[in-house]
Amino acid sequence: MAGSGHAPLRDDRDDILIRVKDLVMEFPAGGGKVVHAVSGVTFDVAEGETLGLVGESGSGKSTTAKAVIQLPRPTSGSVWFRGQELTELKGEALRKVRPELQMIFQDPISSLNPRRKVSDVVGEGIRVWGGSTDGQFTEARINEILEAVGLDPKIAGERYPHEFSGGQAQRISVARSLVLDPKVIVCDEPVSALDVSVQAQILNLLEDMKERYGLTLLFISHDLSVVKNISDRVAVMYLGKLCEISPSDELYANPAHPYTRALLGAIPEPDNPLAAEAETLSGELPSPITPPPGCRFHTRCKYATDKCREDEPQMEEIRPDHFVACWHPVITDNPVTIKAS
Amino acid sequence: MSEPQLKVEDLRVAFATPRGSVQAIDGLNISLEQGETLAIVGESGSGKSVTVRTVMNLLPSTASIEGNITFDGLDLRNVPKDRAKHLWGVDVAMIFQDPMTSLNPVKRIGSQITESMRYHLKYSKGQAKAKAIELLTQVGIPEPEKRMRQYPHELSGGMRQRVVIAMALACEPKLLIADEPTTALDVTVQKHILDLLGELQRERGMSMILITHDLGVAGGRADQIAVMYAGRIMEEAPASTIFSSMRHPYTEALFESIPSVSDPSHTRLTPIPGRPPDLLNLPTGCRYAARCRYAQVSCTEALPSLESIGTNHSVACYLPVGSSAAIDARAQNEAAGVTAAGLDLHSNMEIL
Repeated sequence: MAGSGHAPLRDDRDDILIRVKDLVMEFPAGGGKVVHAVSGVTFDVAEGETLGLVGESGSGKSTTAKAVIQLPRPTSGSVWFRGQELTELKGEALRKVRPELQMIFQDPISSLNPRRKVSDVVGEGIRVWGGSTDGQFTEARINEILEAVGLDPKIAGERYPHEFSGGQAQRISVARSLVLDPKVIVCDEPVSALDVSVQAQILNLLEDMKERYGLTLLFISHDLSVVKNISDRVAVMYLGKLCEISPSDELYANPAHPYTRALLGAIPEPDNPLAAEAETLSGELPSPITPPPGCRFHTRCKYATDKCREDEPQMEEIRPDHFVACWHPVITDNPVTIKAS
Repeated sequence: MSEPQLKVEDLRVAFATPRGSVQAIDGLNISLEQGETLAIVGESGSGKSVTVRTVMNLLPSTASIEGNITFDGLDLRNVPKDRAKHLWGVDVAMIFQDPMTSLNPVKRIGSQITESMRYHLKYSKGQAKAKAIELLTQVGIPEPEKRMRQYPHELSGGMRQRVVIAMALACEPKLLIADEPTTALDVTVQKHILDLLGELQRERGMSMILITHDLGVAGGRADQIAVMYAGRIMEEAPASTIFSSMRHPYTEALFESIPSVSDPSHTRLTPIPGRPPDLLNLPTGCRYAARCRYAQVSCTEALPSLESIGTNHSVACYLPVGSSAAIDARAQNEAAGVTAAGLDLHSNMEIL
C-alpha cells in the first residue's frame, strides 16, 4: 500500500488543526540497515475531530501519532499545527507548544509514578509550567479536573496509584493529560488493557471530555469496534503506509481497500459478511527493513497483479471524502453491515 | 447419556494472603462432554483462569481446594503418582495467553516440541522429529524443517502461538484448555488461530475449554458458554441461545457495554457502574447486586444458586431478565433513582 500523495488533505477547510505531509520515520537497525516504520504518510485532522488509527502491530500507527507530537522527531516530512511547523521548532519554542499536545498510554498502572500521590501526579504539569506561584489555583484546578473525570478529589487526591483499579488509574491518566488545557491528546490504545465493562466507562469519559474541553483526539487501537465508536474519521495503516482514510461510518459500510476489508472480516462476529476476505490475508507482515516494492500489501493481497508489484498506488478519492491507495479497490453500491451477535 | 468427560463439582478455591483469605472460586460446577467446547467468559478476577489452573493442577501451594474434579472417570484431585506423570500435558493440555513466556527462549523450537513426545510417549529422536514436522505443518507453519532449528525470538507472535499449539497437541490430548489464546495477538492473527483450533478439534474429536473476555469470540466458537463473576457462574447457556435470550442482569450489562460495529459511530455506550467486589470481603447476597440495576433487598440478603431454566440453560438470579418481577424491580429502582444495594442510577461519579 502505498499510500502516498496529498489527495486526503482537505485544504478547502479553515478548521484544520494538524496537517501531516509526507511523514517519514526511520530507525537504525544496526549493520547499516534501516527500519522503515513510517514511509510518507499524509493526512489532516480538523479541530474537534477524532481520528482513529488502525492496523496490525508493526503498521506504524503508534509511530505516526507520536511523530505528530514530536516524540521523537520525524526523519523527514512536515507536521503543521495551528500555524506553526513543529518539525522546525527548536528548544524553548517547541517546549512552549508541548502543553497543547498530551498523551494517554496503554497501561494505566505503569504510566503513573507509584511513589507519588495522585494530586501530585495530576498537578505536576501545572507546577512545571509555573502555576505554583498561586498554590490555591493549582489545587482548585487539580480538584476540578479530578471531579471532571469522575473521581472524588478529597479521597482520590491523597492516595497512591496502586490503590486504584485499572479503570480508575486510566481516569487519573486522563486527568493528568487534561490539566494543562491541551488542544490535542494522543490516546495510544487507552482501553486495550481494561475489561469491557470498564472500557465503556473510559470511552464515554473521553467523549465527554472532548465535548467539555474542545479536544482533538488521535486514537490508536487494534479493536475496530472501539475505533468505529469513538472516531469521526478512521485511517487504516499497513507497514508504514496509509491505505485508506474516510469518515468512520463510511469506511465501515464501504471498505474499499483489500486490507481494510480483511481487517473488518477478522472481527469475531458470527456471520461476518467479510469473513472470506480475512481468509485471504495469509502469510506474515513483511519486514519493515526491506519493505516490498510497489504496493506494500501486494505480498498478502488476493487481488495483486504485476502493476501492484511494480508501481506504488497513490491516494485517490473514490467517494466523497473517502480516499484509497489501491490499484484494485473494491467499489460496490452495496454497503456492508456486520451484525452484532 | 454417558458420564461427561470432565466434571467439576462444587469447586471452592481460596488463597491465603497476608490480608486474609481470598475466595477465588466459590461453588463452581462444570460438565463437559467429549468433543464439546465450553467457553468461560468473565472479567479479570472473575476466577476463570483459576478454574482451569485447578483442573491442570497448576495452583500454588497457598491455594486450598475443595470439591470434586473427575476426568474420564479419574479423580483428578487424587491421581496415583505413576498416572500423574503422564496425565497433565498428555491427556489434558493447555495453551497460555502469552506465547513468548510459554516458550523457552534459549531452546530451539524443535527440541521444545519433541521434548514431551520423547518423555511421555517414549518416541525415538527420529520419530519425534517426524511427528513435530507433521504437527508444525498442521498448525500452518511454512518451512517446518527450517523453523525446527530456529529460536522463539525469530518468530512472530502468531507463529509462536502456533508453535505453542503444536506443543500442546504433541501427545494427542483429549482435552485442550486454551487460556485467552489470542488476547496478545492481532485480530487478523486471532481469526486464523481460532479457525485452526476449531479445525484441529473437529479432526481429533478433542474437547476444549476456551477462556476469553471477548463475548464475540465465545459466541462464534463454543457450544456452551459460562459467564463467571467473582468466582461464581452467573449464567450458563448454549452459545446459540445466550445472545438471544440472556437472563442474568450481568450478562445483559456485559453485552450492552461492548461497542458494536453495527452501531453508528459515537453511539453512547452503557458501562457497568462500579467494579467487582473485593474477594477478601465478599458481600452476603448476590455478588453482582452492588452493580445491578435490578437489585432488591432480597438480592443483598442471600446468595442465589444456579437454577436450570431450560435446555442446558441455567441462571443464578432472583430476578432473571425479562421476567415480570425483574421489569417491576427495575422500574421501581429507576423511579427511586437508587437500587436496594445503594447504586445511584443517575450519577456518573466513580465510587471510591
